[in-house]
Amino acid sequence: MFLKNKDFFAKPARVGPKAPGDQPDRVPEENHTAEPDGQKTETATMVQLRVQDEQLQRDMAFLDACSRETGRPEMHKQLSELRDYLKNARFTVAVVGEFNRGKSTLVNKLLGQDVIPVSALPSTLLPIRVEGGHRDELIWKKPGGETHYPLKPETWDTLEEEIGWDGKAKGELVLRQTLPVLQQNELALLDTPGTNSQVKGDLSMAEEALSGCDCAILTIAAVAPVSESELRFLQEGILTKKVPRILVVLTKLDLLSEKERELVIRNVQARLDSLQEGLPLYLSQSGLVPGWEEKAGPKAIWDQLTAWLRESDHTYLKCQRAHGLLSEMAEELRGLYACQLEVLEEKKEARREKVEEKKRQLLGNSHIQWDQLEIEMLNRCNQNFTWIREMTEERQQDVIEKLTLELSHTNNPKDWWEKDYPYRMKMEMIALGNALESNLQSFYTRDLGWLNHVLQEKYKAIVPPQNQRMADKGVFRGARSQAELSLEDMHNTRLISRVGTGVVTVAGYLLFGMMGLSPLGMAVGIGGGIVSELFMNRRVEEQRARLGQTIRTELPGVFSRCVETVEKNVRETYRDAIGNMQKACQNWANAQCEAMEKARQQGEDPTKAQAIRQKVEKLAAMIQD
Amino acid sequence: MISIQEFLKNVNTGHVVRSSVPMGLGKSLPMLDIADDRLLVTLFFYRSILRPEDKTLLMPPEIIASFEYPGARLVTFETLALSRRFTGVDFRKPAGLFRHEAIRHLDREAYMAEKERYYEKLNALIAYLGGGEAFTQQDEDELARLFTMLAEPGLYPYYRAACPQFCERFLRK
Repeated sequence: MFLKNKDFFAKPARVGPKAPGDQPDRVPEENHTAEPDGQKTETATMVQLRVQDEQLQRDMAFLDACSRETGRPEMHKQLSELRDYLKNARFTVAVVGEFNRGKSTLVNKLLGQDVIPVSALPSTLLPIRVEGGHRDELIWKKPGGETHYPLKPETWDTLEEEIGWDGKAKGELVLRQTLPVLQQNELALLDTPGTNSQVKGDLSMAEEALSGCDCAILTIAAVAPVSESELRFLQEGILTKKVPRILVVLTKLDLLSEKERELVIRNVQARLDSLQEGLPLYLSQSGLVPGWEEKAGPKAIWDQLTAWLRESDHTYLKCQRAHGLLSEMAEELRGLYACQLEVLEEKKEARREKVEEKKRQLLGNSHIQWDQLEIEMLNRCNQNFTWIREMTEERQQDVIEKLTLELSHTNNPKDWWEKDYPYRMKMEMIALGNALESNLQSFYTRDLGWLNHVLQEKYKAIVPPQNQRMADKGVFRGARSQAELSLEDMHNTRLISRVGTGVVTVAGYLLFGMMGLSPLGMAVGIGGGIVSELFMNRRVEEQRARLGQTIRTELPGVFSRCVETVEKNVRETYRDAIGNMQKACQNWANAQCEAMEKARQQGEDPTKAQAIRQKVEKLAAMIQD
Repeated sequence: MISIQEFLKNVNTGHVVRSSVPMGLGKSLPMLDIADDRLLVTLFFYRSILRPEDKTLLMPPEIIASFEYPGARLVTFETLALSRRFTGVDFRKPAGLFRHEAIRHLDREAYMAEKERYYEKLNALIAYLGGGEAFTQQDEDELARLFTMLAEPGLYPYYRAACPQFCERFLRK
């Protein structure tokens, strides 16, 4: 089809009236009303925590002030979450895991009745906190307030519609139940959305839930035991959050045969043992595997939870976790203050020199590190070139073999050369382009991931990925020039030859017939036909050989041109990443230099140094060994 | 020039679908793309598991294919399970539900009527691309409204992956 308006998609979309509900992907998160709540919660926390925890409150207030002074708002948020965690007197058990691992089912089993709906699709859209109450009720606690719902079966459908599947909804659902098990124990169960569902933000919901819980139950389905993502979530999402108690529960064992069950349990146990964290493994159903009676079924899990709940060191562990987190913050703040102090303690002139020296040193060291990063990135880029060369050479050989084989079967090389060959080449080049693009993008993502990991650690910066196509579509899909060869149309030639042979045969028959030698006339005709066929075949063979030779000569050039373009694009992409890295690093260095300069200017005030010194000492005292 | 409806019928009965697309896979809404000055129609094929009460499970697509318009010649064919860009997808897990929220108020006839309207708008766009009548802002908004409404939200990522330019333009958030 001939396109007159082929630039339609290339032009930017015209701005028209917005469709209903046409909103940005993610609405900005509403600010938490931390201040007024913070006031209220602090009082409540102090009443509930033990005497020595008043010190914890003072430490938190001090760190809060320091974080504001040093411009660390994220620390303020962490402290606010920590306050909430300490305020919560209930022993909170967060049930986490990937989608469809039986989290909600496990919560229902633990409570002895179906309080949360379960389905094959990710049905838990927000964390659901199940806790004891004087009456059955469902509350959606949102940043802007809370909504109460009557607890009826259809309420869940209404809620599902209100919350939506787009991941924009925030907050937590609180399900209050009059169940004796919940009322007798100061315990709350927190069901979380699957960590790998396709709804954005579900992972962060699970992680937030973990930062405010006393115990985490990680559910692993026996049908897909301990995937790499589960193991990574366990290591990075749970263990690094310093959750005081962790329990791993293997679910869906009934879907396996008896023989497989033991094998899976052994495998899961081995993977957990390899983490060397002493994580206890439980089975969600009892009576399925012999030898596991004590650690199987909801009752066994519940017994373990209540045992932990009643242990005297429960509050101690909670405080210890808080101390651990405060210690990390204190260490970070001390580093910042120590840097300032170092500058302040120098005399004015010496200080100036020192600052300049430190700046030079910082920039010098940074430049060396940046150069190393640049060299490493270029090395990685060069490795891509090696791969591209190897890959395309291999592909080139395959294509040559394929085309030569196809050519060897054609009876009319001219037709094949003019019609089939360009199409075949185009398809091959598109396939090559796609293969190159797919692999190069994954190499680039891997290399950028490495670079960002280093930058994050050293310079608290990241380089955004370039959304750039490396195997340029135009190069691989575009029309290609092909050698002009004067080939004979063998189809026509063969036709003419056959007609000629026929005429000779008839003429020979008639001529020799008059002499009474008609068989001889026939023989001459047939002989002529055979000779001409042999001659034709030889001509075809010659043309095939000629085309084969042309393909062998032409193809490396075509591949080479494409590869050169791809290499150029790859180099540009990596260069862009390096350029962005240098910018980000330079910004970091400038910020450091500015901080030093500011500290030097403030150094005139002797009380300032004294105040910072005191802060450093206080922070040092808060740091745990 | 044939209509998109006829084109889809040709694709459905063509050798590509018969020989390379497993039986039982449904096809997505068609999307248009332009490559090398050729008009392509892109589709993906996915499996759905029928369940009552609007709980039909939509599995992640298995194949993305582009066909040249109007000849229905296959141009690209991608098996998602073998493609690196979909390595993070678990093809055993459902990606969404049918009917989704946006079409829940429609009965079968109304749904088919909306789909027909979508096809008609595509026909108008195809005509415009070929140099025919203008494709107005209103047409564009209507096409976007229909596409956004009819496409299943759970499959949005796959629509975007299959035909980014078209979705950029017509898949309104």
